Amino acid sequence: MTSDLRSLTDVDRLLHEPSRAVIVAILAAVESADFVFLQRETGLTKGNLSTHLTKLEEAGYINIEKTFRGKYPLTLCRLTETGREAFTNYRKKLSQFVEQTK
Amino acid sequence: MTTDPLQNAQKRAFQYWYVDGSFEFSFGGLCLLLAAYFYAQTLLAQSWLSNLMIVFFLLVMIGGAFVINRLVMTMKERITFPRTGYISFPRKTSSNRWGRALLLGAVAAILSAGIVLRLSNRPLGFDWTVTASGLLFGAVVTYFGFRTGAARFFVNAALSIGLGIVIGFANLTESIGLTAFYGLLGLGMLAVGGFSLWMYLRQNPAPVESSDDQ
Repeated sequence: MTSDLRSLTDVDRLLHEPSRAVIVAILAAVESADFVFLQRETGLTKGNLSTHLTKLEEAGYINIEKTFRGKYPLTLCRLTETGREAFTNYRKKLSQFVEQTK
Repeated sequence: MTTDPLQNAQKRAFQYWYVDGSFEFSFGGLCLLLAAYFYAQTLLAQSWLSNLMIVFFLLVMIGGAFVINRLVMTMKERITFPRTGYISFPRKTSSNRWGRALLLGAVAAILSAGIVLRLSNRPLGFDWTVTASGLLFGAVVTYFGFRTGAARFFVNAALSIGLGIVIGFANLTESIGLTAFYGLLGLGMLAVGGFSLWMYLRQNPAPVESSDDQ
C-alpha cells in the first residue's frame, strides 16, 4: 500500500463519519453546547444524535452532563482534551491526504 | 463561508451568538446611556455637578456595560436558548483579557481626549468629535462584521459613519451634538436589533413541551 493511501486508512474511523465530525468540530469551537443546539446544527433526529454522542462519550472524546436550567432539562456536551487532540490529528491527516493526492 | 463544511459548522456556532440581535441591544443600550450622560452634561453645564460627571464618565461606561450584559444574558436565557439551544464560549485567557482591556482603554482615552479638546477649543466649522466618534464606532462594528460574517453589522457601521458625518457637519452646540449622535445611533441599533429578533422569533417559534426527552 502506498504511503498516501496508508495515511487515509490511518484516519480516526470514529471521526470519519460526517455527523460525528460536525459534532466534534462544533464542540471544538465552543466551550459547551447543548443537545438542542447540536440537533439543530446537524439536522439529526434525537435518536441518531443520542447514538453518536454516546459513541463519542465512550471513546472519551466528549463529556456529557445532564442538568436542568429552571424546569427545562439540559444536556451539555464538552470536548475533552483527548477529543481535541483526536480532532486536530484527524484534520491534519485529511489535509495531508488531500495535499498528496492533488 | 468557506468550502470546508467543518469550518463552516464552527463559523455558524460563532455566529449563533449574534443571531438574535443581542449585540445591537447591548451596543445600542450603551449608546443611549452615553446620550443620557451627554444630555445631563448639557443640562448641568453651569453647575459644579458637570465637572463631577466628567470624573464619573468611566464609571458610567463600565457600570452600564455590566448591567446591559446581564440584561442581554437574561434575554438569551429566556428567549434564545430554549428555542435554538445553548452554547457557551471558552473563557478569555489572561492575554486576551489584557488585549480587550487595552482596546477598551484606548477607545475610552480617544473619546475622553476628544471631549476635553472639544470643550477647550473653538469650533472649526464642523464638530469633529462627533465625526471621529462615528468613524471609530463604525470601524469597531465593521471589525465585528468581518469577524462574524453577518451582513447587518455593515449596515450598523454605515449608520454610525453616516450619523457621525451628518451630525458633525450640523455643528450643534455644546454636548448636544454628541447627545444627538449617541441617541440616534442607539435608537438605530435598537431598531436593527429589534428587527433581527423579530426575524429570529419568526423563524424559531417557541418549543412545544413534550415528554419525549433526550
